[in-house]
Amino acid sequence: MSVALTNTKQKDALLDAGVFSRADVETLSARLNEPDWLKSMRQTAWTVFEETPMPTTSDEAWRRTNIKKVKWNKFALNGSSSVKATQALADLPEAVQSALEGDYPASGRLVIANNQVVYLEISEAVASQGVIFTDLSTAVAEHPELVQKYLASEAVPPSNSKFAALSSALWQAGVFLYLPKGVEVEEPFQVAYVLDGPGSVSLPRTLIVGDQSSSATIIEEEISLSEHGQGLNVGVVEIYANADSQIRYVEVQRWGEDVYNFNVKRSVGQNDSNVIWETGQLGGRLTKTYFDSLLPGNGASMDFNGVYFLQGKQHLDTDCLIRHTGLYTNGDLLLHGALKDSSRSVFTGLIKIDPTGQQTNSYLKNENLLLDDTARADSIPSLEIDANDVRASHGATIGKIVEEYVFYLMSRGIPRNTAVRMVVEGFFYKVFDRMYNKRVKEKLFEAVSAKIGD
Amino acid sequence: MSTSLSIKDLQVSIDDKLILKGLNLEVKPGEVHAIMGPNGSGKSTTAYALAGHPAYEVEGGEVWMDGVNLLELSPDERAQMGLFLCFQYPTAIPGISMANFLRTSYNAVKGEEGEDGKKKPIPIAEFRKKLLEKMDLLKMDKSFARRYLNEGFSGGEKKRAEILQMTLLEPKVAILDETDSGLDIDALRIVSEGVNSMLSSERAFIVITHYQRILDYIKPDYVHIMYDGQIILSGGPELALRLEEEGYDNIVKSITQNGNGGN
Repeated sequence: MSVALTNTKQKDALLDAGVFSRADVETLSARLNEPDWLKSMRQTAWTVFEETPMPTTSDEAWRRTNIKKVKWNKFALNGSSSVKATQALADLPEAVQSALEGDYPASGRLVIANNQVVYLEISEAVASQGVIFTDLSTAVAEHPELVQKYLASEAVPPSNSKFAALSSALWQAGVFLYLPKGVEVEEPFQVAYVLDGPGSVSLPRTLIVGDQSSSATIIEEEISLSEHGQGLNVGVVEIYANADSQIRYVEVQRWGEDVYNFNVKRSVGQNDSNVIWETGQLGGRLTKTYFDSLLPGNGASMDFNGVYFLQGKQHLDTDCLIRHTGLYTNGDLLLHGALKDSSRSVFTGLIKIDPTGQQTNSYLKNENLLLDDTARADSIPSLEIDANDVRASHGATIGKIVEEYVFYLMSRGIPRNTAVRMVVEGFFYKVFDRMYNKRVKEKLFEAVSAKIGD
Repeated sequence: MSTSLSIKDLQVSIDDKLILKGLNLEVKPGEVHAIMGPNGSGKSTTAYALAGHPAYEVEGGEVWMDGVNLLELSPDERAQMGLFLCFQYPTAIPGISMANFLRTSYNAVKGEEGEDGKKKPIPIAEFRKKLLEKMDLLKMDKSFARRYLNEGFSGGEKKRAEILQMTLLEPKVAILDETDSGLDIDALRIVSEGVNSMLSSERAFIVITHYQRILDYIKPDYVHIMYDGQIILSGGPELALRLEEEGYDNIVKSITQNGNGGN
């Protein structure tokens, strides 16, 4: 590194805390016996991480999310986990078992606890069609050409951001899902990322590649084994949807209440592909997550059906980009959130239509329901349109429970607490009703319903 | 014979403006009472105040039903007692399906108390059968149950949905607030048939209306004329016909000039 650069280097709280170092990168590569291309990718990413300043509230994207007070030195990279590797679902902690829905069929299941793979299965029938579903390190060893082609490439390169660079340098364990040409997988793939113990750090990386005309659903659950205890999650998801493929990515985020959570999730959709995001963000102390949908392919489309429910001092910052570069691309995003206590949500949504993105349809809306006077929501949708033959619209609402609704239900004999619950559930049902997969809908509905309380 | 509903000197204000200025009305089981009056006379205020809408401030008076002063109960408790208001403008609530709403309401009002004091919900299949029967009576399409509560309903559909709720909940006292407004003749006939099918010696109806039209279909035993927050004249069904001929202005004028202050 040049002297000049060192001299001008700003104070970097995350770097200075010493939780992560270049030595960790080297140790990791050595431990996992990684190929040269990956070693070098991690090293380069580490340099980008060092050189990228920490985001502050002076950055537009972080204006309403202040991470200055995060005590990074509370975290340690290689925290051990009480979850032991097993070949039986029944050996896993209750919370993980319930997330993985053992009673239902799945195409594959993968559990990663504190960066260690503890459970992996894939259905014989699915594997025999050439589908690859495994942890990312195994994929690096067994399918290097595929992983190298896509990992940290067009969707989330290290240059994306500070946290994306950290992920590229130090991802520990992750998921690799590859769907060969023409293979449509019916049952979902289920993944659980688990944080276990105070001070734990999770650095998950998910890479999904759908080849031409393939389709699949992947459900990721993020779970803390205990509600309390600080944790740090820095995650990246990359989705590459090739021509005419359909990838449904579901996230159920139920981190414990002291978890700091930073993610960059991005999809790249080729011709006539369809990427569907379905998310329930329920846990965490402070979250900043990007859901970016790039639509370079002609006729590519994206849908986003999201809900969040916050309480206590939770802070959730969701940043969505729909970028229309191809011809006649479609975007449709709906995100509904309810807030209790002194929780806070920030939504930034941008529809960006490039000059090439003619005949595009794009729609983006965020609605917030404030259940207490002390809760606060900021919603900033915007449009950036450089093409002249497009239809795009956006909207945001922030409101309280409509008392007229509650009265109407009460006038039919329904007690107030039930009436309020029905109104809140109804608010979310606008999103759930767009969800195609019944299991996903029920899972997210139950998760939200449990948080409404009495 | 006992009384279904007894309103005594009811005074109600909204936004600090006194609207009901001492309303008195006795309603017995099996009776149909029509309350008629010009706009702004306090007809709808009566309906909302009886149902317990929080914006309607009770300044004085009592409303007795089964030995309980309704004014001391919350809106849901009033409904559980057997009071039903058929709204003039039913609220549309997004995201709540008609079927879910109707079942929840039915369980709250009609559910039998188990040994633990909690109401036992009706089995879903049994409720569905009952619901389809009632919907058939009101000539409502099956798809209706899957729609969101009143959302995107036409005026006629909303009124039919209100009557459907009434037929399910089988109230002791039903108040119909301008149920005829916005209905074409066919819809008015269907809605009225729904009401008439509910007539019973156990049940009382209060039909609030501006026009005489609905009273061709639902025959009242008593007609009351409301003006400036009070009932100023009561009579039999012939009073509605007199109103139709003479108009509110003339009747009100003749009464207020004669100092004949109502019932």
